[in-house]
Amino acid sequence: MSFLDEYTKKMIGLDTVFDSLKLLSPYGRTLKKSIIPYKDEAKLKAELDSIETILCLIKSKAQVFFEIEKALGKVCDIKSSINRCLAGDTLDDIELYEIKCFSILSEHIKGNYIKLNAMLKELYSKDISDVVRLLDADGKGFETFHIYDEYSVKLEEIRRTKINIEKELYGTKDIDLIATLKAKRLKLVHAEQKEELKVEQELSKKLIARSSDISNNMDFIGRIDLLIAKARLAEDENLSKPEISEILQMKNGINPVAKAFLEEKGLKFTPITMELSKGVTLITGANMGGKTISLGIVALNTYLAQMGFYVYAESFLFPFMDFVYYVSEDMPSFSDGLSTFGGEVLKVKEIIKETKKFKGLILIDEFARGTNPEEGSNLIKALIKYLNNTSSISLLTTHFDKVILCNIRHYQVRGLKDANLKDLEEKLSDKNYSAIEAIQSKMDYTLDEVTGITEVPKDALNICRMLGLDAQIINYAEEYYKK
Amino acid sequence: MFTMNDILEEIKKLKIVSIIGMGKNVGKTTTMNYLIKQFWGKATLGLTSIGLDGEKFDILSGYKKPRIYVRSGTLIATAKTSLLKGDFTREILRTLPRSTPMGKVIIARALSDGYVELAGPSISREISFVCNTLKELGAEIIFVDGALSRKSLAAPGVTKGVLLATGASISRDFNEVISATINTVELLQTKEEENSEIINIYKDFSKDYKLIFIYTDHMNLIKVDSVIGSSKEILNNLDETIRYVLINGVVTDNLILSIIKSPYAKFMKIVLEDGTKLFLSPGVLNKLHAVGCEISVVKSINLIGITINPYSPEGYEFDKTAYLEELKSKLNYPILNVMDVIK
Repeated sequence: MSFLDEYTKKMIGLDTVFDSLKLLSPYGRTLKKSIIPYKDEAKLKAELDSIETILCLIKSKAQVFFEIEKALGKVCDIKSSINRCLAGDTLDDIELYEIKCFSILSEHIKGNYIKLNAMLKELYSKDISDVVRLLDADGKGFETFHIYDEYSVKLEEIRRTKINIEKELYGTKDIDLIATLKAKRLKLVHAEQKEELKVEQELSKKLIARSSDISNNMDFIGRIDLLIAKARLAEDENLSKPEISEILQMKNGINPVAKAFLEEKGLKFTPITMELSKGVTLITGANMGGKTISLGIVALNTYLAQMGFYVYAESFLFPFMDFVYYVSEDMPSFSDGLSTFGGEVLKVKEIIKETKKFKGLILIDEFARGTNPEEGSNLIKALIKYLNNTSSISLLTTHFDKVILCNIRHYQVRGLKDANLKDLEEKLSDKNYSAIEAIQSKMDYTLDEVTGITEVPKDALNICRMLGLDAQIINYAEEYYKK
Repeated sequence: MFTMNDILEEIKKLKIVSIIGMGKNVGKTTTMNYLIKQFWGKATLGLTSIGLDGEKFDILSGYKKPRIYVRSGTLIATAKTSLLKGDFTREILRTLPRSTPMGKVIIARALSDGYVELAGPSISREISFVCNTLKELGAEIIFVDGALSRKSLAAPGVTKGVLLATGASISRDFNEVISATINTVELLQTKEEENSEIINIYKDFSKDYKLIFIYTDHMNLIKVDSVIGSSKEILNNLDETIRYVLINGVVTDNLILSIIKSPYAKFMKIVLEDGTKLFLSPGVLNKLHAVGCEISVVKSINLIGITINPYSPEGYEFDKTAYLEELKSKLNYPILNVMDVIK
């Protein structure tokens, strides 16, 4: 079973979404690196519900979240110290300091978490206030640590004697006395270090018994950090909660990267609405009509939903998937020796094998684009016919004609159909726009569901004309179109 | 006439001062210990270091080196392995997220007197961060053990003032020590670039690009592993429209001598982080000036004084009065003999 490869993740904008997911603690950051699609439907549902719960509270309990997030940002990684402790090693004062700070912050986070009264599933913080007390021998509760005198009477004695000698040392200029005092001091330094080590050994031993609760709280901190980060992302980007369903239904889905890119150029991004169910759905339409973008939006949102994220759509229903496959001609794995077509075929072969055992989402962008159109359309037709009988959801794009079978759902890109060509010509002559930008500005990316066997729109010739291809060629082409 | 008091007053005013040594065994640690003693009971001190400088024993010569001795209450920012080597009773106040090759930088408070080993970050930005944290935790005066080393990436210029330690160990030749010291002072005093636009370009891009070429109408950013050995790269990018060459790294004789040969040298100005990045022999700077090329820095160094050590651990010594007087006659700075003041 497989989900998207690294190249596709980047292409559909998942990397950018991940970059906007801001984890505050080292535990959260580790967790972020290991995010994968859920394999258990109930757990996925629980995760999405937890984000919803947090989103409901994030405004009304802003101060509590502020406290939690502040502590998350301060918490340090004590995992290797705890492992060392479990292995029987003695922790040094710096490690003990870090465990003390961790425990104080962990208790602080717990206290605030309780105030949320959120009841997030499987998210409990253990009480480690005794660890704080153990490492706060002077009872001041500061986020500092030393091998306190309170740990050992002997230690306190050694230190007192040592400080007196240091005072004497500081006050004298007598070289002989200095040498004697230095020697005495050195002896005491060694005795102090020996006694400190004893205390460190005892503390380390006591911590072994608490390591499982401490580890639990490290996980808790990572989990709460990730959930808050997902909720913050949903809030900042205005995302919606995906719902698990039998069909895949997306209302006004967007790709945040493409949207930002177009908006920067002053162009409008058209959100995509579509419904997919078991079997094949086909998108046809003009070149430059955004077929690939539509595929990418479905891939991005399905993948995010499957990983327990809110999605880039007004509403989003999706079936729990065993896999998500995306095949496009641009995949770099197709360039190592195989022809593009050869690469596509092997990938499809792999997918077909999976469909026999599992159900998932299959996205194929312009299959067989690189081969001759006659054979290409036959192959697509065959592929459609096969995939239509599997339990998976398949979404294919093509600009080949005559591949539309009557029993499949079919969307068409509106393209330049309704564009005011006069407007477009004006824009094309406007020096402020490149020809590509002018066409993009007039292209309608809306998908219309069409029924019956319709022809693929013929925008290719229009686009050639607008981009200023030699008139003679256009004329020849028009003659061929008539034949 | 300057006195030691002038230096101390200046330190009180500036609050963050680095001490840089011209070489090994020039008395930098002795200077540091002297200053620590002067401020004991008067101010909470903070100590840190640029990189790791000096081990307990000088590996090459085997001479036992003096160690820094702090008094109770001092704040110390040092790498973990160095902290563990110290022998004062310590309280851990903070661990800093930035790491050095010697481990995390830890800030500790001395609860007793004792010896410390200092090792800190070797990047300017991080030194500033450490100093700020020391200040935040209560340090009133901060001393930074700074290296004048080709290897150091950090610039002591990030501190408010710099003390230069020089000594007999640099050379057996008295005149050579004098001229090397004067040369170093001259290089440290390189003037700050007046064009703020150039300074901003340096600050924005030099972290990622060690070489930045600014022409009359465009800019060229170049990544090199090290500035040393990149003279060919520099020469290839010069033409008559060159105005500035911004260098993030150390500039040596070789580089300057090859730039001098370029017909375009007269059109350009070299801009560096600060004067500690110039490792030029006496006279080389004049040769550059002679072809019409100037050098400026992003941050000028505020040299507040010079300490001398007339003894070399190799067994020879200079006449301390002659040494002091010779330098005093040539340099208008407070100069003192550290070996005298510690007695």
